[in-house]
Amino acid sequence: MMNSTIVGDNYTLYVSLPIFYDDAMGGFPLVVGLDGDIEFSRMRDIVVDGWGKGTMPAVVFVAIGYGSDEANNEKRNRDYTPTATVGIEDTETGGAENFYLFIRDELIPELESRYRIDSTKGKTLMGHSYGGLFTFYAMFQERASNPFNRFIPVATSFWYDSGSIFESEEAYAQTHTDFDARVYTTMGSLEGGVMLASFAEMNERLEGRAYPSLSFYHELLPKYGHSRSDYISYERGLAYVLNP
Amino acid sequence: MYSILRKYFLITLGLLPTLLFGQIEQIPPMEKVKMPHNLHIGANIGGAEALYYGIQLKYGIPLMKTRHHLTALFSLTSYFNLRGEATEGSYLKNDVDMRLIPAMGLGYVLTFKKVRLMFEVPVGTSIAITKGILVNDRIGFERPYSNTDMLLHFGLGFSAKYRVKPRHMLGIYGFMPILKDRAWSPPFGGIGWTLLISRYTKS
Repeated sequence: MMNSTIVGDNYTLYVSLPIFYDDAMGGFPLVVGLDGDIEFSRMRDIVVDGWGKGTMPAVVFVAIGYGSDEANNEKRNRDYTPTATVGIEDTETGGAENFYLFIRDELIPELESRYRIDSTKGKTLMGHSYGGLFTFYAMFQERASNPFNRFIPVATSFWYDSGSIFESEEAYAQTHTDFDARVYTTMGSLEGGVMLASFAEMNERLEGRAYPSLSFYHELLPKYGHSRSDYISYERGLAYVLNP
Repeated sequence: MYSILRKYFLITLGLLPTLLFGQIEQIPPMEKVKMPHNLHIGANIGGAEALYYGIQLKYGIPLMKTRHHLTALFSLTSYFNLRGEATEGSYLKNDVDMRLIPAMGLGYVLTFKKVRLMFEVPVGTSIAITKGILVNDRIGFERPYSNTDMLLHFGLGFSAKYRVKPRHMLGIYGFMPILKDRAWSPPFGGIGWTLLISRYTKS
């Protein structure tokens, strides 16, 4: 459990350390996952299996939750959405800025004090649906102070607030000439038209910026709908972003 | 694919006792039996990740001359997502988001006076077609998109019909997929009308 003075709420942290953590020397990459109450066990399996298969290094994995599935389902609407909208959700929206500041200024320093995290090995953020939206939002924040340099946005809710995430992308491009990060993003081919077209548009825009230091890989997953695209995407995404 | 065929075989096998029971309960001898072919037309609503509206055509050919009987089924189902994730500032133009599902299968029909129940196991292809143009006024772009996927359609179907006239039946029907990903072939249900194309004739 961790209290955030920025958000004014408590978060439940789910942590998975490498099995040899106590005996190992040196630090590990950090991977942060969203929707922790719902997704932690599946995400942890991917991380553990990935290390076992040799597709990714051992990592310190932390999933951010809210204490219960119900709380997670409600509060993700607040924390993962960049803009406040009326009528789309019954709950509060538009809290992504505070949630990002909580991660940057409160959570990451706390994790670095508790665990042996090696920042030179990268910090990864990954999320699905609204979680993908927040992952993109975090990606487009000011680079110098951004704690993350690996991103896996999956089945991103591009439709949210008429595609307001594109404004974040545009704002980043106006203030940066480079993007030192590795990004892996996917969309299931069975998603609707707004998602499919927005996914292609975002990919084209990012590639069009020609950031010299950006490693960017996008994949349309054939025969995947919205719900089932997370597992395969995290698996492939972690293998991509953690193996430069 | 092997596991699906195995499931299909087991379900068919499971119907056999009922089939044998059905053969015992014969139509009364004074009736010369001619089991009717039937044409079903229905309006359905369904979906796993989006809401779809559509229609279903189904043709049934009885495989035996008993009141309760096996029947071969050939169907074409289509349904449409009419709105998608469109918002005021971001909408679709000339868009199609539909499923076209040709299928065939076996059904078992139980007939009780005016009521007819049918359990079926359809197998087919769910063709997902999504295309159109996304117009995003807020950001200021238009982008065409197009995607077609061929997916497995497999599951269990059920219908309950009531005979309102000698050749006409009305009722409800439903389909539940037996697939890992329901986005492949979402569950749906609806109301339908059935025309009995031939009928019992008395000698």
